[in-house]
Amino acid sequence: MSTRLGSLVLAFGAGLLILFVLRFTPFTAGYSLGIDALAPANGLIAGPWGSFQDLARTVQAAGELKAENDRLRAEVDRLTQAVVRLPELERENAELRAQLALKQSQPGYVWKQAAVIGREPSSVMRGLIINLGTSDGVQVGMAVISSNGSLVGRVVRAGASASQVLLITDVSSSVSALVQSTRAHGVVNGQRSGSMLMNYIRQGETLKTGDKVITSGEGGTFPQGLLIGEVTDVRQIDIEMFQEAKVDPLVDLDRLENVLVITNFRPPRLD
Amino acid sequence: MVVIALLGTLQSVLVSSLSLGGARVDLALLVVVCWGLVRDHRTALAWGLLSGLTLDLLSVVPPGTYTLALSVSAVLATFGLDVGVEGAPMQAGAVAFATLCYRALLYGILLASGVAVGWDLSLMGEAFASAALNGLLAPFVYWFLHGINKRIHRDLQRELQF
Repeated sequence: MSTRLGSLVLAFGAGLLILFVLRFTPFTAGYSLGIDALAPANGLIAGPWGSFQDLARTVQAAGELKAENDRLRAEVDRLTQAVVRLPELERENAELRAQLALKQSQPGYVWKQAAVIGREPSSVMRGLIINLGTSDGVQVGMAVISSNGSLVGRVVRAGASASQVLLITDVSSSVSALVQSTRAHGVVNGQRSGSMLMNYIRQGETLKTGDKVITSGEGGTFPQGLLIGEVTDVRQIDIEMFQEAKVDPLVDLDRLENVLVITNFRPPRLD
Repeated sequence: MVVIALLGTLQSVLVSSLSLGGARVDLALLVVVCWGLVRDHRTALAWGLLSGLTLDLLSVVPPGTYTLALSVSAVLATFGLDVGVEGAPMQAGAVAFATLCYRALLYGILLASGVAVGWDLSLMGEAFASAALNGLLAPFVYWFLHGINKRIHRDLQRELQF
């Protein structure tokens, strides 16, 4: 205990002495000499130490750069997804606007939207498979239209969760129709080419390219007033009883992704 | 069964959208006939029946149309041929012949069912174009299925040895 106390006192005293000597005596010059003697050693150590510090800073910066790189890559991925999604959102927006316009123009119809999940496996017939069935209220005979109100076809088979639709461009499809402007009646049949032919148009009727053709509602198979297509060619020969018109659908039926099934109209059953 | 269901689904979802100058790949027919050429006509019949049934379920045609057409054309194309038909021309010829039979049967069954077909020259053009396209693809499909068949035999032999 006394030894420890003695060492403490000695250290304190020496320190005070050195402080006094270095500050208040002519030995301050020696202080400068000491600094000059030690400076080269400092320089020898400071150089490599500086490089080591630079290396450490570089390593630290590399870690920070990597983190920033990762953050920027994630941002790029997020923006890329947004860019890819944007056209889909625009398309969905356009489709919903078309449905809204359709609802305003045809307030009497109730429909359900369905996605097209398959097509006819071969070219012998033209049909679609949609993802709505009897559990969704879809039944055989219901009319199917596109988002802009164009007639697509009718349901020919309905399962519990999926249904098959026969397109109006199929050769076996017949739709009772009339020309919207002149009210000329006829029957629209599908053609192998994917177009349609309106037959049994009386000779006295005047048709021209661009006339819109709509369903007449006769026969009760389809509701009245649904757009079928547009006249693209008229074939009229005087010696024949009727004239014909080529009608093209206003939507590409082979590229439909979504359709609407009109659920509050059913054709009358004859059995 | 999974493979057969997949064939029908692929045909309905993907292949039906692919058209090369009016010619379409009849994927189910191609695989069924090539598998029949690798094995025998009985295999072709079994696969034809099951694949045709899958296609019928996915189609608006009268039920049984694809089943009948696919199974009969597959058997006609593979009947009498030895197991493992080597030679691309032979494989292509068999598949092209099967395609023509298939198309003829499809249209015949539709007509007999009272469904309008719309006879015109484009029908024949489409049938021949599809036959040519299927025939071109036949050697590749055959080679692929032949490899699978060899592997199945090898695995079976190993199991029997154990």
